[in-house]
Amino acid sequence: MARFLVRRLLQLIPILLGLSILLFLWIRALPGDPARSLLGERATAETVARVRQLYGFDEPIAVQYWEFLKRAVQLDFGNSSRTNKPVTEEMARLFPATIELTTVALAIALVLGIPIGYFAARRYGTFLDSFSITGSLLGVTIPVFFLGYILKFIFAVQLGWLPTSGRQDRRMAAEHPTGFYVLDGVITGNFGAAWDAITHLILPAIALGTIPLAIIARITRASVLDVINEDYVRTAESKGLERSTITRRHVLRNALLPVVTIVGLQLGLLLGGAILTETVFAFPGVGSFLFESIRFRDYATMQGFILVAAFVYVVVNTLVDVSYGFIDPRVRVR
Amino acid sequence: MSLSQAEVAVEQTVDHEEIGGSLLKEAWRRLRRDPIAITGAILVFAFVLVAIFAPWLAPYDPGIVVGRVTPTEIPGPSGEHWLGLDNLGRDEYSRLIHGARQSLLVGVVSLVIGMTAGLLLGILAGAFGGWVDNVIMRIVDIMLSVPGILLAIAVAAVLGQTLTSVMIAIAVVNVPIFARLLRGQMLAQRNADYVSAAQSVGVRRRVIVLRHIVPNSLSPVIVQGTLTLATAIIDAAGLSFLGLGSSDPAVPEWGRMLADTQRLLTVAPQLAIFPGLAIMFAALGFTLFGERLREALDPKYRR
Repeated sequence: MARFLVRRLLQLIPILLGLSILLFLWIRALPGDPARSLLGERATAETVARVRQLYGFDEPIAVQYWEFLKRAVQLDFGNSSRTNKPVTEEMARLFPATIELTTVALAIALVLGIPIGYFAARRYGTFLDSFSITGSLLGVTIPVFFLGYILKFIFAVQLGWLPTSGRQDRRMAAEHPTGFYVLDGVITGNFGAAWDAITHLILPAIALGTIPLAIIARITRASVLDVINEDYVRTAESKGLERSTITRRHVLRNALLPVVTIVGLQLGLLLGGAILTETVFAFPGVGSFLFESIRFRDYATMQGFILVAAFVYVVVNTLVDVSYGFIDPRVRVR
Repeated sequence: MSLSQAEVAVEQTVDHEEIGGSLLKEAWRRLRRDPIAITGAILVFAFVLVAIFAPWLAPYDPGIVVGRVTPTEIPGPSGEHWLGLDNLGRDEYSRLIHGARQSLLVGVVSLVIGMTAGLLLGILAGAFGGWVDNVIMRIVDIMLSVPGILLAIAVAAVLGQTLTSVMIAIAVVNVPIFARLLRGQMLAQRNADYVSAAQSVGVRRRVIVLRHIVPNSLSPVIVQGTLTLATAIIDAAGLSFLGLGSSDPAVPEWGRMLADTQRLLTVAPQLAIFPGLAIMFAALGFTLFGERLREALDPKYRR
């Protein structure tokens, strides 16, 4: 097991290095002078010259890459040309919001997706099955920004049940020691604020969670279909085990393995979808910040976001692979 | 019963139409009877027709102001303007129809570019193996490590705000997907009996790869292509929603139509709902058809 773990972690290194080279080349490929690209249109000639020297844009390309790598490892992505604050500082401020949103979205996807997939497979070929397949295909094809808009229109504007935008009612006096608003409300004993934060999360989380929900339901269905035709399930049935025991011990335990892998891969979709969802709901997280950065050609922020998002994605998927090795001994051998 | 009698009996019981010889015939037979696949095909067909014949179908020029609108009053559907006017007083119906053109164009071109590049890489990796395979697959891994829409955003940022840059951005996202798919297929086919047979009679490697392995690996590629058209349409809409699409306001794009009318939620919600539904149904058509095609081509689901 230890060898498997080490090997898997070592495989991370070339990918992360390759990613950094790609990102470095990307900055170089951006239109115009790279120093000016990082600083934005309004920067003075002196600042541009200073940054050019600081980042070593006059040096040979290999030296430049080395400097870039050193700074990236220290999480130094320069200043946002839009807010003039370090990109890292902005991300630290905004990431809790996005983590909160994606966690709730993923939770909704798992809690609904697995049972839907399971029952569709159990009733293979029936109306319920067709209904869930069509529903999940709809879930994949509805653009997240459109779904967000519809949800907002129905539940916030027409019915007035939930807030249209933001993370917290502006009039609410709430403290935010951690930046995770729901958690903040609970630890400061301000349950009104916690509830308020939850109501702000519901619509964006449903919009964002729909794609992973649909994918998880489909994978679960396919996987359960594979497993229920296995010999060991028939054996369990023929020796007279309870249906619920077979479901728990034999069917789900084996069928959920592919689902674990898929959950890791969903993270990329969630991070990408967060950009669109947060924009629709004016939810102040890294996604809506990135949207503004794109509009203002704030390349420093884009660079930082892409690197962090890709890093998190790669690391989480490696961890998923490793955990897969824990759950299923057969994987380690490969 | 003599042998010839038995043959006749078999002839009589086997209905060739029903069983079908090849996998393709079988798949076609099943698709024809599948209501979900037919729904998908109809949606795709309608979308393609609208896109091709847009100038003849649209009653007005999509870029021309044809009526008066104020920020608080935007006329909805009427006999004259079937879907009403947009936020600048242009005919919404005509814009929607011309938008289909843009979507199809971006979808098809980005699919073709991405698929061609991906398939070439996949063939190289699968055919040569060894270090070629290693290098190509590591590059593919790196590309896959950036979430799709983020990769597209990065590419579009470099190339500027044009339709071409959107196409290339989405194509880049598709390259690693097709490369990995075809390589996997080829590896699976490489040890198949018919390949050993061809090798043993001295067929050259290039011929084996191009004539035998590649054609046999293509059916999942076709399925993936259909599904990718759906994601390409959604991603293109997403990019223009984020303001990375074409900068020409006269060219209607569904994603930007939705983005531009977001804030009119209380005045004219239909202006965002129409393009949203259009994106959804176009993508749904390709997804429904692609998914059922996948099941129809998969011997595992044969009944």
